[in-house]
Amino acid sequence: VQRELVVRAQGGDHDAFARLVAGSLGRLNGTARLILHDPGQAEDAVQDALLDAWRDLRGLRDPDRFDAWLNRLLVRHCQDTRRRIARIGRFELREAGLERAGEDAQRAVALSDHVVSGLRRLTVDQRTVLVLAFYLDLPLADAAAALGIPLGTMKSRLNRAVAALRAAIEANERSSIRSAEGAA
Amino acid sequence: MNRYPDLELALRATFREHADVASTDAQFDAILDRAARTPQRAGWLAALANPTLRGGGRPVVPTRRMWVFAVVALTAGVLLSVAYLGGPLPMTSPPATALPPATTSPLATPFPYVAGPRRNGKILYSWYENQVRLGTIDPDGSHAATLFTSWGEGGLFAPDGEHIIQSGAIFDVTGRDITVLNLPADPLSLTVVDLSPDGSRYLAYGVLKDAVLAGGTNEAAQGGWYSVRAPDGGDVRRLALSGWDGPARFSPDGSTVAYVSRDHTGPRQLRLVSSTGTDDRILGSLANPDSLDWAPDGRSILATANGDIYSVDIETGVATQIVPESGGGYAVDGAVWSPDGTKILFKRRVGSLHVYDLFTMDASGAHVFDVTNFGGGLNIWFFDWGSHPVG
Repeated sequence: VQRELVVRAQGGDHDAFARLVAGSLGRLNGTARLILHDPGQAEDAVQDALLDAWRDLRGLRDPDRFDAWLNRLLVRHCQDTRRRIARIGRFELREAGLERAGEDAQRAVALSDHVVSGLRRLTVDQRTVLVLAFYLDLPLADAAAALGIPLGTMKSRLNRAVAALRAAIEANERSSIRSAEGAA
Repeated sequence: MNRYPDLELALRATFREHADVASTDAQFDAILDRAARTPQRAGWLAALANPTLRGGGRPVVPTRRMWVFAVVALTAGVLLSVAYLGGPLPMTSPPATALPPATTSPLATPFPYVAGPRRNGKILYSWYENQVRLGTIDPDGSHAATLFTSWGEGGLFAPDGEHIIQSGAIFDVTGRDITVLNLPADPLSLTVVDLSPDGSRYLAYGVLKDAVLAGGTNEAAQGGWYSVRAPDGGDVRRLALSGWDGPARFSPDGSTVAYVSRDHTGPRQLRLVSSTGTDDRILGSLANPDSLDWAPDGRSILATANGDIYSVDIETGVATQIVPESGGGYAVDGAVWSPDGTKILFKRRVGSLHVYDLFTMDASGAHVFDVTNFGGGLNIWFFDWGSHPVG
């Protein structure tokens, strides 16, 4: 069915494109929000990716590759969103996770909580790799294609991203322990 | 991946638990509305303009003919450069200088990098090559130098035209002499994007992190532009609510801030607000700008939108497109004025995805010149050539 919709949309059928958008919007929103950690920027990235998809749909040779192609457009816009704007400084005025760590120190903190905190410490590029591999569950070759990089590079980036996440989690755990000791 | 089985499971569970796949009718309608107003490109043009489409999204595998062509072109390029320039074209760089630890002294009061010689006229830019690198180059393409390996994504010349502000610190051009900006003590998470011409205020995008994490609305999260006293980070004032931490800049006289707002129900728009937070207003009707830079005389704003360059008049809001006289075909991604307002510096793709060069041209679009013509392009992230005229 999707193939038929893609072919119709390539012919300029707006209704077919609307159905394609409806079918992919949730997945794209989820992906962009996980990568960017900013709802506004994520919606912009999704909107821009889908607009690119509409404009350049006739250049897609294989309609069966629509989802993979859309992933690639979205990833590109997520990366561009962060890179376009010159940021000269980031002030994290109060680390919400550290505040809560004192309150939570009396009970065990689940690994997933640390994963959430750890993900916040990663770069957009690192989160992108992890989201493609573990949220979208893309085969590594497809994830590499979405990023426009060779398969070997994808593997090494994934390893580095996982290592960075592990280091961030360990750093969070150390912060929690220090907070707990301070509270005691 | 098998080396991290527990972490992999936790990651999958975390993503499943935290992925927010919700969408709104407004978002859906906005996408379809923009699509309805956007013509589709012909197939050959779409494939040409966006090489990611070739092969249905699969990476292009070079054919033997492509390799032969590449070798011949490379050889010809080297011979030409030897014949006409006396040697191979320069690639970026002296080697990057290692960063010393960022444990240097807090910034003294007042902000010390305002007074000084006029801007040095160089272009500052960063590019990704295994890691983010920061470099300068003269507008004529000479004296390309790698300054240092960078910590952050962006950066600007300080108003003195000699120091660089990036990642919450000020560097000299060697990447040493780091001065860490003082951090304010407040519940906001602020990202600083600009410094007022007199060095007295930061311009920063701020959100209440707890409200964002709790899924609060933009209003609840106070997402918007803030003016913060420099260098101590005190006196935080909200100038305007905005759902997008996009481009924003102080005007050359510091009286006004131009920024791009985001609205779920329509395209992004240019807006102006006084530097005290009053008189917030829409400027003109240019849709979806993604970069902006004030003209040195403060009378217009240079903006890029949908791959094109426009000059937007401050009084009338009229957007006049500036078309580079040569090198069309690829979209422009950001543009800034030269310090004297006679030239425009812009970034444009020259090859595959994320491969760019920086170009200059006259204000009329004439005399396009490839500044970073190292052969092959760079994954350029940002660039600056004088947001703050001095003296």
